[in-house]
Amino acid sequence: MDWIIWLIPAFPLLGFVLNALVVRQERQAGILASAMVGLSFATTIAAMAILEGTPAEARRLTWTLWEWISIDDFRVAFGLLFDPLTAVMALLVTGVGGLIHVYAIGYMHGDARPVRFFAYMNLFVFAMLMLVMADNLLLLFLGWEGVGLCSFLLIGHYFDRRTVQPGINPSDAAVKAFVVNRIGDAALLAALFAIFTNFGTLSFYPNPQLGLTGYLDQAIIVAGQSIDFGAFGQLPLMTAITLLMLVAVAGKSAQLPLYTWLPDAMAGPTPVSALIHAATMVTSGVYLIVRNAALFDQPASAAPWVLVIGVVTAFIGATAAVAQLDIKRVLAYSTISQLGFMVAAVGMGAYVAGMFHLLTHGLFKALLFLAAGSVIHGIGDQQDMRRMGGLRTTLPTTFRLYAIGALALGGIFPLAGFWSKDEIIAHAWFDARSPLAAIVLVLTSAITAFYMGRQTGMVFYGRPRDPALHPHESGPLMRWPMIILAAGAIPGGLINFPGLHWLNSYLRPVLQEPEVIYTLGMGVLATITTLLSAGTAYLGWKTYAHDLELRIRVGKDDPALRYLGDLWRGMEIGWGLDWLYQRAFVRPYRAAADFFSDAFDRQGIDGVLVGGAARSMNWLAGGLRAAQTGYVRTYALAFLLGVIMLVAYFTLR
Amino acid sequence: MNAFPILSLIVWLPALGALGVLALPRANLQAQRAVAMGAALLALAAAILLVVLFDRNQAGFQFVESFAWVPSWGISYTVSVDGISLWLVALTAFLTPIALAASHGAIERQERAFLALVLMLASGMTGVFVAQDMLLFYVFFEFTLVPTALLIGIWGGAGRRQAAIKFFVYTFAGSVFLLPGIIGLHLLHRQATGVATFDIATILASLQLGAFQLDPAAERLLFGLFFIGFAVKAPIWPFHTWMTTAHAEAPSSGAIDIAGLILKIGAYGLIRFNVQLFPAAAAWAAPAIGVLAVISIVYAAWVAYQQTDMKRLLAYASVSHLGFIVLGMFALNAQGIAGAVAHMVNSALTTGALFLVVGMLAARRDSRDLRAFGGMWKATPVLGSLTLILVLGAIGLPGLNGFASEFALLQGAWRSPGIGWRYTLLAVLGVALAAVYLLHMYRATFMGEVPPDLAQTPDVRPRELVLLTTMATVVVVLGLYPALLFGPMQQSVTQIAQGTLQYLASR
Amino acid sequence: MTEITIPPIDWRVATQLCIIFGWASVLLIIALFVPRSRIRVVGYLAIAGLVVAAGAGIPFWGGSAETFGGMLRLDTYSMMLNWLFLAAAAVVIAYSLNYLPKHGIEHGEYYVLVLFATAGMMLLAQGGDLIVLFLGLELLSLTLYVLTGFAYPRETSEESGMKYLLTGAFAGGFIVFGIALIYGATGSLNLAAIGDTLARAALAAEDRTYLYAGAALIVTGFGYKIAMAPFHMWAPDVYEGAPTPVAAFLSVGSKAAGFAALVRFLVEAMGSQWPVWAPALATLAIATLLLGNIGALIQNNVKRMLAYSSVGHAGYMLLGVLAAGAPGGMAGQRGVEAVLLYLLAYMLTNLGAFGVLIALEQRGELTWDINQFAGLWARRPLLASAMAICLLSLAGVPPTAGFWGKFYVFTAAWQAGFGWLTIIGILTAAIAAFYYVRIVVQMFTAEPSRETPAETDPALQTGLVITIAGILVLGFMPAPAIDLVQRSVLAAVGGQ
Repeated sequence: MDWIIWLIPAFPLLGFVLNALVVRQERQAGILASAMVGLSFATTIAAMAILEGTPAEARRLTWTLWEWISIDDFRVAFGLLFDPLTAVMALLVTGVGGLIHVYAIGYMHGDARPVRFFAYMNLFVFAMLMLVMADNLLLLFLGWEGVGLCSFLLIGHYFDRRTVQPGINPSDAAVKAFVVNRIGDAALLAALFAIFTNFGTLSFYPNPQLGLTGYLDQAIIVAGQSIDFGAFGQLPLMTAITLLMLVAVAGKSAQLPLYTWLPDAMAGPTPVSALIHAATMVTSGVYLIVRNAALFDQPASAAPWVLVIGVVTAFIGATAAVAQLDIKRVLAYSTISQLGFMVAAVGMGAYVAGMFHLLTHGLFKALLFLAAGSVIHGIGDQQDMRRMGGLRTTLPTTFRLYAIGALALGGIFPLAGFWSKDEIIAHAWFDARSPLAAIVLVLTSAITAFYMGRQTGMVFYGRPRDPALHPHESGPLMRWPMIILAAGAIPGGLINFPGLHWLNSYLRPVLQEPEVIYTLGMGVLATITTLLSAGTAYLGWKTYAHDLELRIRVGKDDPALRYLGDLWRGMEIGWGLDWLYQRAFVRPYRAAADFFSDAFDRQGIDGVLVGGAARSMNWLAGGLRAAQTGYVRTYALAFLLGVIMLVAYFTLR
Repeated sequence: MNAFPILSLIVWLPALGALGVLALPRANLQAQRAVAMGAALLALAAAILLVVLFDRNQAGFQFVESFAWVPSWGISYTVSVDGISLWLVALTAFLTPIALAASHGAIERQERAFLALVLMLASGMTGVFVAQDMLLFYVFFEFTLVPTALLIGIWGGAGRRQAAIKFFVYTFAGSVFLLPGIIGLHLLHRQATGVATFDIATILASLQLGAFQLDPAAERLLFGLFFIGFAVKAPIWPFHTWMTTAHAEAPSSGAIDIAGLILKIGAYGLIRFNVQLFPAAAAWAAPAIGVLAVISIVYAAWVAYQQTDMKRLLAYASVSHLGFIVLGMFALNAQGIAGAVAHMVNSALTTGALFLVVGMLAARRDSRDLRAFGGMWKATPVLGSLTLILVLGAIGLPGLNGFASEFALLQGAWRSPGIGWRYTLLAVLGVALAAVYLLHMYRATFMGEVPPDLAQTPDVRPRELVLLTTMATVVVVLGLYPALLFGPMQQSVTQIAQGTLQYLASR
Repeated sequence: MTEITIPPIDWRVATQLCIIFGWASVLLIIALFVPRSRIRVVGYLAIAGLVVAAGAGIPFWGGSAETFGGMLRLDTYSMMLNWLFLAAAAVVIAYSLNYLPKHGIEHGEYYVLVLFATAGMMLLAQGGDLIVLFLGLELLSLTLYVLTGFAYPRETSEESGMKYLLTGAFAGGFIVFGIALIYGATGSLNLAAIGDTLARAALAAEDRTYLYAGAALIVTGFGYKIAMAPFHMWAPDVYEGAPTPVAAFLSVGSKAAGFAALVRFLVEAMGSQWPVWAPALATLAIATLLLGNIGALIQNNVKRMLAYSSVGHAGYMLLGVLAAGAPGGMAGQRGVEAVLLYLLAYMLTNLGAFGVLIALEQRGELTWDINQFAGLWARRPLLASAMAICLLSLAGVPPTAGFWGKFYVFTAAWQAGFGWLTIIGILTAAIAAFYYVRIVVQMFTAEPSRETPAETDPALQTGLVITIAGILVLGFMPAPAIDLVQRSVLAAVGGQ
């Protein structure tokens, strides 16, 4: 019965194939796509039921279809794995994914290429499922690059437009996303090579069908080994492997220094932003680390770096989110920041906390994006928050849903965000004993609350700033998915409620993580955090709904600029990483390419070396032609010289 | 020895077809096309039969056909396949009809001669892959020059004559080095064993049995002679400029790029001779060659990014791929060599298909300049999507053909003592750069706003659809089930790797 | 007053020679009675004579005999060469049948002279004695001087004849001097005898010096005939000036004869001194390879280009000669075979190339410019293909006769311990590829720049068909030819 797990990715794949080749009509495409995801959601539930039947010490279902690559001792299975960790991820992907598909039926109505859109969405779900269900790193890599491809395709959905709001070129954004991801992927490839070279396998766990060993349970093997860099000293092998993985994570989960692609990814349709660039794909980096917990738990691993990257990214992202004027860009930077929280968590070894936040964030961030989409949709494809304002009255449902999402994200008690985020902060303070990280994270969550307050204020409060808009509430197809997500976002905290630890105990077969013992200190910390957040949220809301409201004008800078100046500018441009990369990498690369292709290749290798050889030959030939005077005396002279030399050689030897 | 000369059939059917085409009256173009295509398809059928009959549990040469050619010299017409040449034979047989189909309508004059030359070229290429006698190999190897040069020279672009001469002289200058190499190997082997033969299997056997031992100096000399010949043909940086010129000047239809230029006979020679016959020298030279390979990978990828002529871009792409192949084979272990061989096939498939796409684009706009296109994905959605699959295959996206071979060979390189992880890390950088230049090309041609004059461009015609879907299907199938490729070559590859290991151990 | 006993003369040895000499003299008379308009009959008769002579050799194949006190030899080696000469002469005459009238230089003497030249060549191949070799050389040269100047309407023809005469006389003088020195040193003119004396090392120091000096001079003399650098400079001018069929005859016939004599002298007389002369010859070979092939690079005059290329080919054959002297029978024999096979391939190829040239040549042609070939393929596909095959064969691209020649020569050289020379050989071959392929591309890809009517008459066509067929047959099935040359051994080599 284990083969059933193959149905989970099979349905979306089928949906993709049908939509790509057969279906031509918009509504059919949407229904088919949603149905397929729904089916694989149901299958996931079923699989989880079967999973419950397996013994705790080996709680996993595996099924290998065929041997993917087999050369000598290098053997990789084309096989799936279904254990509690996978189950949780698959549940999120198919569940939230399904809702977003339904939402998209409404949202994409009247789009130029709806069938193609739904085909890609299904393909994405398939790839994402392969990523989380693969029983070995190579197959995971298939999903890993697959989701990258889908994000490329969907960001580029409007490839034929020069720009979409806010002034992004979709084609460029798509290529940028793919290439930046590809850099991370390359690092992951290197990690794979290193892992196989040292463990002799790429499977996570032993594969009974092919008789392959797993590497996670033998992490200790390479604990001692290290790479020799000669003059630069030694690097523990484990550090190298985990560092390479960290680079991959930075690419896929939009962490420093590779997060620059995510804000531009907002060029895709909003459901895409909700599904791929908030709820699922970007969290795959976190999943990768959790899956390889065994490696990151090693003393020599790069876990500390993971923590640093996570914390810094969380802070940077949050600050950048504050100064955005595009409704989706705020959420984009907020996503980067929240991913930072998760990465920080897994960096500290708080895998369950990380997964917990991953899940809750998946719920409320999807909700926020969908709500934002509903706003955009409702006011005629406007994303500029300066044009909005006062939508509270005209879009009441959207407003309430958005508010729930905002509070959850802001980490306000008792919504989902509060519990998950608090668990991370608590872990940082009490278990990881890194108060600095804790403090930064607390600050970050305060900032988070602030920008959500700001956004809510700007969008839904104050006066309508753009008379040209005629807001209308979006239809049930879009409303119901949001309502369901909201219904999840409110009690989401129960997933791993203190004292219940459902998630913790459910994941224990995979992560063997002890339950957190809750102390008074934690309560205090939590209270402080949430009060702080509530305060900043109010501040943000008050400032932008009342105090500065009159100074927000279409096409004008944010009023706060006057008070913060360059600091604000810095936050507005996401701390200028794009600007930097343009000058540090892109332009030099182009220039060098120019030099290589023209000067070096055409003139140098082809001109000087190849052409030079030919020219020198011609030059010699010219000399000979000159010697060939046509006068017999010349010939006689040459003849005579030849004779003399020959005779001289023979006689004087 | 088997009764039915299937290999000779695959080799000579196209040549016969060529004669048939030439025999037909100049006017009757339809008949000429029919005969040409018929011969090519028959050869393909025979090749498929060959793959089916191939015994994958056997490491050595199979389907051996042999008869004396110059008895007094021990030169014989001996053809055979092993796991390595099998797929290259099949690939050639597969690409020939595609090349012919691609040329239909794209060749405005002298189509009869064109068909004949393409078929002759096919015979020559197949001959290279099946020849088991060194001298026979050399004869086929050199013979391929003539039709290729003529195809470029007669039907090429503006600079076609210079390109043809350059192609011929440059590659000839390289491959003549094989001649002393072959002669030397033959004579040394005869001195050692008293057996006058050019048969690779025999020489290999006496090498492995120790009846014929080369002293390091001689081995390295011979290795060097063969290496120069094949490195130019492959081509490895810095010998690549003839190839980019040839691709740029070859007719747009892409037929010749497929038939003559992307087939990796140079790389095949490197495995067959340098790696298989001179393991010690190969191990000795591996680090140096690794450097060249890595330079080829990164440099070509970098330069490709700057090209505006799509065919030039693809030419550099195949140079970059070649770098991967060489890196893999000089890993001198099973993964590396198997990956290299498989990558020869895969890169030929994807790059070749992309050359076809360029031909189709050129036919629609009479230009191969990236800047002349844009938004074609909207104007020609089917062409756009099929092209995307091929591009992704060339980039090495998992699930498509390029990935499995690329991963295998890089894995081999990473763990091999000769190459090691340092070079491989740079090669992995090349993997990322591949995405840069190919997506750059795709974005420039198929994405972005549609220029008004392109809005009405017709989408794929039936013939084009068949061509591209065939290629795309192969790309996907080989990606999801690469065992198809790796299975049959398993034994031969392991044998070569074993041979190398023995030498490394013995030293 | 002692009795002079004349040793019995073995006429078999001289059969072919006698036939050619006799038939030539007869034709000389006949030519007087043949009316001006029907003069070509003489040509046909000459060909007939050549065929008969060739056939007359067959019964004697395999054995080896000598007569006139060892002055005249008949071994499979010389028989093989005789056949080459006769075939070459026949083809050349076939080429000339229409060439002469077209250029208004038709005289019966022409054919007779060709026959006498052939006889001279045969003497060079059969001579076992320095005097006979000299005789053959002079006979060959004198007739060729006349033939070269035969296209008298063109000054260039006369000029070239004069140049050939002057430089030839120069060379001849050196040979005579050389012979004298050798006779002085050894007291013998017989090659075998000289060889024995040297082998027995029964020579005083100064005699040895004289002998070496003489040998050097003789090498220069024959080197001149085979256009070996630096004695090659006459070749381009003479080829250019001479009537094209004669140029063809020069490039194959007299070169072959020169090699025949050179090999015989170096192997039979100087064989034991190989260590002495091998390095010198290697140097000369390198010089010849480079000068010939590089010189040809920028020639737009196809006739001159072929002249330079023929110099280059002499270089390749010298590698064979080098090996021919190598000690330890095997390698030496390989060398002789290599020279013979190369000569065969080269003869077929060059005759073919010149045949196409003749077809394209206009009356009073002066330039033989490469542009004549532009777009030839579009106008005369077969002629163009024929030329292409010849050029590829000259370049040594398989599967053609030329490839096997090069392969054989390189192998022989490597076996004789001159492996490094093969590297120079292939490098020059790569250079040569340029100027050959240049013409191929010109023929197949260029647009006709100037409309040249290419005329081919039946005789010329027959000649072309034979040569091209020969190139391809030898290319695809070299075994018979190789067996043939392997059976043709120098009596000296085979005997001892």
